[in-house]
Amino acid sequence: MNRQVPKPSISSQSRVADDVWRKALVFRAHAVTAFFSRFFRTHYGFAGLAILALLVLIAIMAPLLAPFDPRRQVGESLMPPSRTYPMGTDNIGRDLFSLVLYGTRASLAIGFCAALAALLIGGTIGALAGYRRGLTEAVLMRLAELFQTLPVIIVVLFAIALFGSSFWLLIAAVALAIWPLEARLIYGQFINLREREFVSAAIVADLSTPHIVLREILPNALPPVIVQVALDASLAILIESGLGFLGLSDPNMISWGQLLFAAQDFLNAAWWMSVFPGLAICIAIIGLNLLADGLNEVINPRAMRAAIGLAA
Amino acid sequence: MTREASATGRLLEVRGLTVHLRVGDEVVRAVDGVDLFIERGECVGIVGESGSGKTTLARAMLRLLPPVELAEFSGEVVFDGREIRTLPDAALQEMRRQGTFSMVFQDPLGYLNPTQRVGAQIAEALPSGLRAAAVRQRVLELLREAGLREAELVARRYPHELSGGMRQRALIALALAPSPMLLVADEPTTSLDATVQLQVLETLRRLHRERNMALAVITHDLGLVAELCDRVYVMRAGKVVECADVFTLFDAPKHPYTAKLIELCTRGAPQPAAKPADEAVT
Amino acid sequence: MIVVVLLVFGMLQLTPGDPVQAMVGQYPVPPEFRAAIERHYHLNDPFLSRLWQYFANLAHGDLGFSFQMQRPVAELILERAPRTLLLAASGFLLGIPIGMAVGVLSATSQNRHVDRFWTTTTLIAYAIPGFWLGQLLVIFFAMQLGWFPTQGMAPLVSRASGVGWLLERARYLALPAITYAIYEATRVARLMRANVIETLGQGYIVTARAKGLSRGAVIRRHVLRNSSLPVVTIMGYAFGVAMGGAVLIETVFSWPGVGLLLIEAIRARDNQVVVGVVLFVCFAVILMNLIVDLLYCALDPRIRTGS
Repeated sequence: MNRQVPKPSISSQSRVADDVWRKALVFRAHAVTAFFSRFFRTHYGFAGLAILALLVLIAIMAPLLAPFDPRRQVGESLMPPSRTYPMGTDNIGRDLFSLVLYGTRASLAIGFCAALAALLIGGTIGALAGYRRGLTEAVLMRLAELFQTLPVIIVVLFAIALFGSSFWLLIAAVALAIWPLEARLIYGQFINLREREFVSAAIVADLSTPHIVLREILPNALPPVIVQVALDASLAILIESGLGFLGLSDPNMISWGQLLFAAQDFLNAAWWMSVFPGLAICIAIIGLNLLADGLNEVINPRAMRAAIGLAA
Repeated sequence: MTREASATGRLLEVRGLTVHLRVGDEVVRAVDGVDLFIERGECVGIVGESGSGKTTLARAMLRLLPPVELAEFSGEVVFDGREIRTLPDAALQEMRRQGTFSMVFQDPLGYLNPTQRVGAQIAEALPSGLRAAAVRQRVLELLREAGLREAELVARRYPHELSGGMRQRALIALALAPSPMLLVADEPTTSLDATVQLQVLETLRRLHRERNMALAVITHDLGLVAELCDRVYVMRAGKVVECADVFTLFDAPKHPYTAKLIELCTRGAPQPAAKPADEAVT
Repeated sequence: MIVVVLLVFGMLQLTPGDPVQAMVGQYPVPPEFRAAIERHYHLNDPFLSRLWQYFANLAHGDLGFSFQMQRPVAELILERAPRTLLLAASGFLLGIPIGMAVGVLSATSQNRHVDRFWTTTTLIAYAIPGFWLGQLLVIFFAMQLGWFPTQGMAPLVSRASGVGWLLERARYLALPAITYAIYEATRVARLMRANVIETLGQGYIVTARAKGLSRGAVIRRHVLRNSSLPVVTIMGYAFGVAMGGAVLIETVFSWPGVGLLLIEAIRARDNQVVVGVVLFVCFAVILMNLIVDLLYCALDPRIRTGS
């Protein structure tokens, strides 16, 4: 019965799929090496990565690096920076240097977790909207637009006011504020990519939908997403330190923002309480932004730089 | 301010012009040692495919290159006896305001300021110091000269409110404002519909005659060249491969590339009737 | 806007715990009071009718009552809003021109080093958290140098009047406004620079050069206007955000505006106030967006004729 209608055999179908997959893979491998070489050629991308690596290292090794237990009173309060206490002590007599080192953990953790959460939430919504189209698309994108219009701080504060501010709630609150960025990005990428050949090839080869989404579209949509994640992390760190500064962060953890909160009452007596944690925040944000810029340079290289066309 | 020759010298003389662009890590040799000249009142065509460097050549000659990094920019460009490639900015601006050369670009929408009315943009090209009424008068005259009958209407409009042909003519009017001795037109008809192309062609021809203005037409459309030009330069990959007067070019092209270009242009045209030579034989 | 209210209301409903307690905050609830509130807010009614009641209240400008301060929320907000407005406006007026100037300068300078310098400076300034900058300024200018007061909007006791009064107030406004101005200026500078670079690559700039215009004239007449348009949109939006976003700066300087109100309310769990402020800020943002849209229409002829 099957012989009457010659159908392409299963094996040839899968061979087509394999072929497409293999070509995509080769292309991708090539892209990856080119990616890394260009990335390292930009000075700032490299600098950003270096700063970030340093911070991560500090976060992991904080207990080893810190000379004192940050939560215990180890000296007189409000002492200026000295050899024993490189960043001075705070109002309770805790070593500020250790505090700042430990603070790296919380701040980075929240930064990354919130960025990832935003990616997950925003990404799923964006992917759904981009793939399904139609009503789903319209509704979801309008929702994203709405959330994007609301000022970030307000959203976060509102969420905190209602639900409290423990570690995970903080992450949720920040993610709630920044998911639209990821959503729109991924949505845009999906719109772009679904029209391209390898997607059509995959559809023709009858590959299942999740396969198409996960293995074909997603890897190629990835580069700008990585840039956005870096930017999101920087934003998340900024938001968290803002919350800490307002005294609304998780009181059980040490974060740079909270250190600034403590500093607020002692600005006159102890400038170091404000300067060092703030500096740490700055460095983290600069590092992430440089990294994002470096990555962006690789993805959208600017062929025309420098000379601006005002010369007669 | 020294002038080598009097008004009997060539209008424009280019010697060994080289423009190498730096794009990313590569160097693109857009123009590679080009020599050409334009006599006063002449109409010269510069033809070639896209990427042959003809636009870059024109822009480099008039020092209107876009903001790209230049790996090399050398050679001599002498306009009306003055070397302009190395002229300082202020002097060049002065020259431009005083009726020397002008350029009409290919994409009229992109080359007109979208937030300014057309009339105002043309007025900007007029010499300063005129009274407002005189400026208005002049703008309308220019628009009419460029072939726009409803000059008042056009002058008041913004570029996106005009059709492609009208925009192109507005750009022409703008280029004519300082009464230039040389008008360079880059693909003046390419982005237009067929009927409008003919009209603009007519306008250019009329202007060339009436103003006794030298015209340089840059195009890949050999038909246009055949209609308008006295002499033609053929460019390929940044170099001039052939230069001849228009009749010689079409009848007896010396370079194989030129021959190919001509063949491509006339392909698809109806076959000509049997040549007289054949008939004579029978 | 309606959606916002719905969202807010919805989230409120999701809050765990007793709604009356949530409304009242930290204070214990006397039983008669509870009964009165339940009646007033129809708390035992189904969801939709409560929603309706909420809308009705809103329409009348009734945003609820603050228990911490024993005053209607709407009154509190209206009292504080102008102060935040003052702060935001001065910050913007200072910051936007500076930012635009820096952006244009760095994008048009033919010296790569100048561009590099400004871009780096802007990046660093961008990374400095606004509130930290405020603290630094306080430490340096107010405490070390004693030029400016450290907190508040006005001295406790003031006998000045007329110009003296203005100057006195200006001193208090100075540091917070400068902090805010720097914050906004960095954003504007980055945006402006990107826009200017894009504009410079456009065709009509070449046309302008071909007319023999000097560099300054080209920048003034063609580049500036066309690069500024997107900045207008963003800035309008940012201004709306500023109404609530000045929260951080107000905290540093104890500037008694809407932001500080929000923080105090959150700490005291005075949720009616919180909701009120949130709604107010959202309203301000949406209003500003509308204004900006209209402004954009007026400025960009392309939108006007709908081509």
